[in-house]
Amino acid sequence: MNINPIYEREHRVSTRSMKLSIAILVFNFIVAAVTLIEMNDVVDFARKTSFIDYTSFLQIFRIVIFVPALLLIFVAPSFIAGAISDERQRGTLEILLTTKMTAENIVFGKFLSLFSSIMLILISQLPIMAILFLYGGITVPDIIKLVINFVVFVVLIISMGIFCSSISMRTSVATALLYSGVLGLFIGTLILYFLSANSFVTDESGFFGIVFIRFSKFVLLFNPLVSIDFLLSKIMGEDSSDILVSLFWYNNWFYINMFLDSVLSIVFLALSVLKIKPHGKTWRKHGNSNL
Amino acid sequence: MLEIKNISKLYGRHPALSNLCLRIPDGALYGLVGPNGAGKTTAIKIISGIIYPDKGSIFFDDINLCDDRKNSKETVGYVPDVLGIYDDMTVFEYMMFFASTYGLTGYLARKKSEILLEQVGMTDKREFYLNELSRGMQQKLCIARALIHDPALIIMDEPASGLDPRARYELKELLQELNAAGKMVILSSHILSEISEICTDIGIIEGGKMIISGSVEEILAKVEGANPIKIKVLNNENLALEILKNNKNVRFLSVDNSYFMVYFEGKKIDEAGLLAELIRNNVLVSEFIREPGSLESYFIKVTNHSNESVIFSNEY
Repeated sequence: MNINPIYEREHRVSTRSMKLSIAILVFNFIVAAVTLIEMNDVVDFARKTSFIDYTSFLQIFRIVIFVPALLLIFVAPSFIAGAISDERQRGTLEILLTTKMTAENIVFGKFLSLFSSIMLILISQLPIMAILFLYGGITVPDIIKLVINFVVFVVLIISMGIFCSSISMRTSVATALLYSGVLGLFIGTLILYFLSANSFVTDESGFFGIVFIRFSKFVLLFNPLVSIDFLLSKIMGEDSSDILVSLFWYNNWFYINMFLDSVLSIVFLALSVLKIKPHGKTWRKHGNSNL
Repeated sequence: MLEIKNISKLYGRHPALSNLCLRIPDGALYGLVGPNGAGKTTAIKIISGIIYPDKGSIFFDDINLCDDRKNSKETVGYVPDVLGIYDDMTVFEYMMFFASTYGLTGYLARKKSEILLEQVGMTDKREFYLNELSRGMQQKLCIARALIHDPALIIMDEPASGLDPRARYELKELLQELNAAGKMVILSSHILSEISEICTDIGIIEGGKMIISGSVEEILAKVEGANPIKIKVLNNENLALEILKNNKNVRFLSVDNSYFMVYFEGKKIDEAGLLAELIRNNVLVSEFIREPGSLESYFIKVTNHSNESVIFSNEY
């Protein structure tokens, strides 16, 4: 079987360096610490009151899901941003393009290596999450949906990172761009929604207010963290439909979100390929000064 | 043979190359010389397939290097000026990685890497990390890397820059060895002496255009032809002046101290005829010398650098 050479190289180098091991250690330490502190609170409460609140364990599950997600938002860009720009700075991108590697191969190899590293970090946290499965309430379809949601979330971050890296001459610029994009998409959209929801009341606001609220809700459809939150809310029997446009969107939020984010990821990857490809149609017309 | 036909390339509104034409014969070790910003790197990158020209085509034998990407990648081995080094890999891993980018794996890749490392004299460095190597060693490794798929055409951008004299000598030996093995080598530099030492053929590029191209001997002959003949006479100076003025091959004439500086366009036999005529008319000639050709001065002249032209006029 022919393994993508870029993936093989990145994999070899990352396993040799301490970076990945430290990332796994730090992620697991934080998630384990948060889980143990929360569980200790619940158990302590049960010991003092002789009352066991099983929904508390589901609350811990929510925390355990969101802590790595937030860590990824803040840490992953620094890993991802150099994907293409590092090659460009080293002068190896030019060389790779003269080999039999195509721009698609290069982007795919980078994507695959980053995806496997990040998934390795996330999968290493499964034992901690598995503790919470002991208390029940979480079904296999719920877990499958959460896994799909997380995979799409990771794919989106990586795709954005590769795109930012492909349009930047320097890794520092790519990192700044990626942090802006990631924070804008995952946190900015939430801020936009809460600002609009608190500034306008649908019944009393004028046309502009209603359009703004609807727009902010539509933008939330691109945010995979919102989808994760809806899934967790459903698992816990909470109703989040109040923030939605209609019941249709609420019931199909997961599928719409997964579809939109997948399309967005494909677009980012395709644009990255176009950006580094020496013989793309756009390139022939306008030249590629980025190399 | 490599044939470049009317290649043009614009960066924004700035023309990097305009209708560049060039023919490089089989087996040539070709040096592309030009001042900074002349278009050498753009030309090199276009031949390597890293960037695409706005206009024109490049043929290597029957392969169109601009359109036939599959064959052009097999034909060309490229060594950029920024060497393209992965600091976190060992020498042997680096070779194996680039072998895999050409679809070579397993025993074949290992064998090929070992042979090439031996060829560049780096077998004992195979377990070294690349950041532990000197610039000269890295350059040699990059050449070995560019040869991993056995290309017929090797293209190098400023290969000698940053090398010490010994590394330069070793590079020269290596390039000549490759050339002797039947590979066409094209290299660029802005230092003419570097190129004239190594190459069999030279092209001077300026403002995105090819000014002159040919074998080193041809270009030297042109350079020498453009230099004056220095004549010193011991008597009958007026008669000598008259003879020189009346010679149909003499274009310009000046006097520098006791020397006649004669700009003479003609063959060696015509030069001999002029000398014979002077002697026949009882002019005692103590010196009759064609100034030796200097590629550097010719390069400066054709690339038309104003401050350097001043030196030229002083010389005359």
